[in-house]
Amino acid sequence: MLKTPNIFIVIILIAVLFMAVGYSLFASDIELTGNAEITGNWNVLITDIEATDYSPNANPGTPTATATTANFAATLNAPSDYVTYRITIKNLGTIDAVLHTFNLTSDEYGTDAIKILNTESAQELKAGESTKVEITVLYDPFTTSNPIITTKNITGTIQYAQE
Amino acid sequence: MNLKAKDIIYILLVYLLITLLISFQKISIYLPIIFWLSTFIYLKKYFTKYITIKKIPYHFDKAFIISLAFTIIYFLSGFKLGFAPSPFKHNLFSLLKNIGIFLIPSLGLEIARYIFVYYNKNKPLALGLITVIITIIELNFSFIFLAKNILFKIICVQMIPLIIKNILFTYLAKRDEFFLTIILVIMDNITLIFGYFPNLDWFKEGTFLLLKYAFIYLAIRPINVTKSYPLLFLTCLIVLFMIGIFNYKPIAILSNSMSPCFKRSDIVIYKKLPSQDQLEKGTIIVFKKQDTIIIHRIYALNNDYILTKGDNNNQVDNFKITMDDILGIYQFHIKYLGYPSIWLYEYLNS
Repeated sequence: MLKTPNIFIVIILIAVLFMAVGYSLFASDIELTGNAEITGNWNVLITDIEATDYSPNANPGTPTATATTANFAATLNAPSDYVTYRITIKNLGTIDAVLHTFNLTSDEYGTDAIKILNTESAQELKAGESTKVEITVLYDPFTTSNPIITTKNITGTIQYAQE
Repeated sequence: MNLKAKDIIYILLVYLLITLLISFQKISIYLPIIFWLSTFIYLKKYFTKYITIKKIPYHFDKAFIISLAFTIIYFLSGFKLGFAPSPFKHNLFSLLKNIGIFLIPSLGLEIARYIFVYYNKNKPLALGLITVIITIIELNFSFIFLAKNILFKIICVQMIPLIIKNILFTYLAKRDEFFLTIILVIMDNITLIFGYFPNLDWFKEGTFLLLKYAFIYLAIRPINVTKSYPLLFLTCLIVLFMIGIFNYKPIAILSNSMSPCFKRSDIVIYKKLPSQDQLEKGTIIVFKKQDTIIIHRIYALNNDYILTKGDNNNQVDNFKITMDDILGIYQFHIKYLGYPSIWLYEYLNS
């Protein structure tokens, strides 16, 4: 009978503790759609998001991205204020991909006077290539209401599938 | 002519070169299929000598059942956590293509590993070498260009399980468990044929794989390893606690907004999914706002929304939350236990 725990099990415990340290830290989760058992040949990820343009009185906040979601909160103070965000999506795997779904959701406590405009991402995304999606959040210039809440939280979810 | 161990190394190095060229889109992704089918033909005459499919040992049943059970649990978890569509196409041509892209190279690597280990069973350095080479072959190095926070999750869900898997498979090769290895490779790739995957996050996915390998390993160990089962049981408890099975979850505190109640580097334990009647002014709640988890005290509430404020903040938070945003209620905290998370956070944001 062994007098000490097996080294392989100890290594696994250390690996789990390492992951747990990160898990207690991160708020948002990556959903890798169950491809973790595949050897990394399929990986289409959101790699970056940035505010590329905004009106002088608007506040683009600090957009963040995980692998499959992009989160941003734009504060617009007057009609015609806008913020434009650019999301970079890259196919880091070895299999060509095609756009499957592209969803934008926003919280219900943002006002309807704030509109979301976007361009579609590329339908095809070959292995190694990247594409960019631009999303503009606009305070309706024709609105006559004076909403109390002028910040809209938006989450973009993009999913690609094998071509 | 005998096949030498170094011939296997040459084969693997050529295959490593192929995978690197594929990563840079220099060659077709179908080349590995041609490479391994050619290698199989070349190695065929050595099969009977090096590949001994023994009479199935009794512990094979245990290992196979464990692997099958984990696969079933994996898919059943989708009924609790939800399913996500598979990114792979499932018509016959695509299925055959994916089997060729994923399964054939995996089988080829295991055959190469088995033959190499046959020559080097009692040489730890050689066993380490073959494990490292095959791990490098299977890694996807394009991730190193990602942001640190995404890279960390990729490391946890793909790289760490990959390293553990290769250690396990080298051990199986040392134990002449070729048949079991092939079964495990096939079962790892069985997810290619399903249209939906359980929607697991990176932590659940990564730890699930690690626990599967741990249980398989203990099932085939030839001697009593009673000291390891308590340790594995502890590991399972940690995982279950982290994912919230026990209705309580931990979270590391990154700021002093609730000082002196609890401070940066403490670990807060909260109880999940409260009902509205548990909330009142002064209750410390855990809620999600955009991409951030915040732990603040309820300042005011009505039937429509809740206002919150940190004890150490001068002003009420400038947003409203609803019951849908609330993750749980603060229970207690443990001082200083969150320091590893703080250090990790500072490193990832440096």
